[in-house]
Amino acid sequence: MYCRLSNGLQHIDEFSHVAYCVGPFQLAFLLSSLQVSGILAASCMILPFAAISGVSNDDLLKNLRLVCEHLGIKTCDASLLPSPTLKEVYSFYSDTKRSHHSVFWYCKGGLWPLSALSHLRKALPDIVFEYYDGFRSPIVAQEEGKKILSLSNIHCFGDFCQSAVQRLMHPDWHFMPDDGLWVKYTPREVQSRTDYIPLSVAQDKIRLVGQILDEVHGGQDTMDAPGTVLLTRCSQNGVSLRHWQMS
Amino acid sequence: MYDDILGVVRSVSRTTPILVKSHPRTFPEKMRGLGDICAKYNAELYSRQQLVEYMFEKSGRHDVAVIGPPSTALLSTIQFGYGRAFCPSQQLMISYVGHEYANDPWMTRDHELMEIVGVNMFDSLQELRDLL
Repeated sequence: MYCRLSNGLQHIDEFSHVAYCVGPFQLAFLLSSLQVSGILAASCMILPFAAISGVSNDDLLKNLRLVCEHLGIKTCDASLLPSPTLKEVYSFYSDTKRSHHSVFWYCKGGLWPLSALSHLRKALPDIVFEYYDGFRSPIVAQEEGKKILSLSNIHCFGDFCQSAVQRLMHPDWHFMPDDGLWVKYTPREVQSRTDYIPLSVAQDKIRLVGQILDEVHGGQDTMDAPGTVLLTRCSQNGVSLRHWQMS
Repeated sequence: MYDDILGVVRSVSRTTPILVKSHPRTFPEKMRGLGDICAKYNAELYSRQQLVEYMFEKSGRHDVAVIGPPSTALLSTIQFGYGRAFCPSQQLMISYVGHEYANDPWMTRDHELMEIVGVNMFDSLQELRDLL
């Protein structure tokens, strides 16, 4: 498999792949991105992103790890998270860096991954790939990027870290759903470094991950889709329970 | 807020199956409160499965009404053609949640994004009733 990168044509399957992933939904899009790239999922190590203080992630982490285990994908020990000093990860990086180049997969999600930044500083991957799970579109991602880069105290991190931030904000390659909306709003510069995920591939991965979750839950969650679904997401952005009126 | 929205849905249909799908990182206390409200409206509370999209995939339905604050699931509903998506406007959310919500730039962007992708925004419960 070849991947067209700014620094030339490279054998991408010879690289070591490490990916940040929040939960099963992002995993579906990561798996889609890996398939589009011709990368075997089992050759990628996943770092569950759980650095969200004050919110219980036990169920999320457990499910993510179960699905990864089922797919033969390695994950780092969740008990080490959200510490920024992941010895297991560092060890993994150190071992692989000796003989391979590394690729860092990162989802443009709703939370700025400080621990990801920390890992990036240590690992200095050769390539940074950004994949999208559909929620934070390229439009929003760009706005976030401008905001973060304009932070006045960014120099406090030092040049080394600033370089890492730049790599996260300007990844080498993008993977996003092949949906008219995202394509329409993706800047030309980004489009030239983007592989699009066919929606059918994303749906296949959603079915794959969902089926595994059903199996590990013993089928207890099996149900037909109802006529109406009500959703809530406030806890993700840190809105406290006490501000969320229940009546 | 859930009480009000469930009341609107039930006023439109007494028999439509209603599923309340919490976010996987929802606080346990909130889940307990949601359970009480769901029981009142004969709605099912669903929290273990993270992939609501898988339920739609499995069922093959394309006529689901998905209601809630800005979320991936609302976008997926549009993107994969599962049905229609409805989102309370930021002002309506503020009236329930408080001004902390208004001061969160993430929330403002999320609402803008929902509008861009074609989610139906509603400013009042009456508007939601009309849309349904």
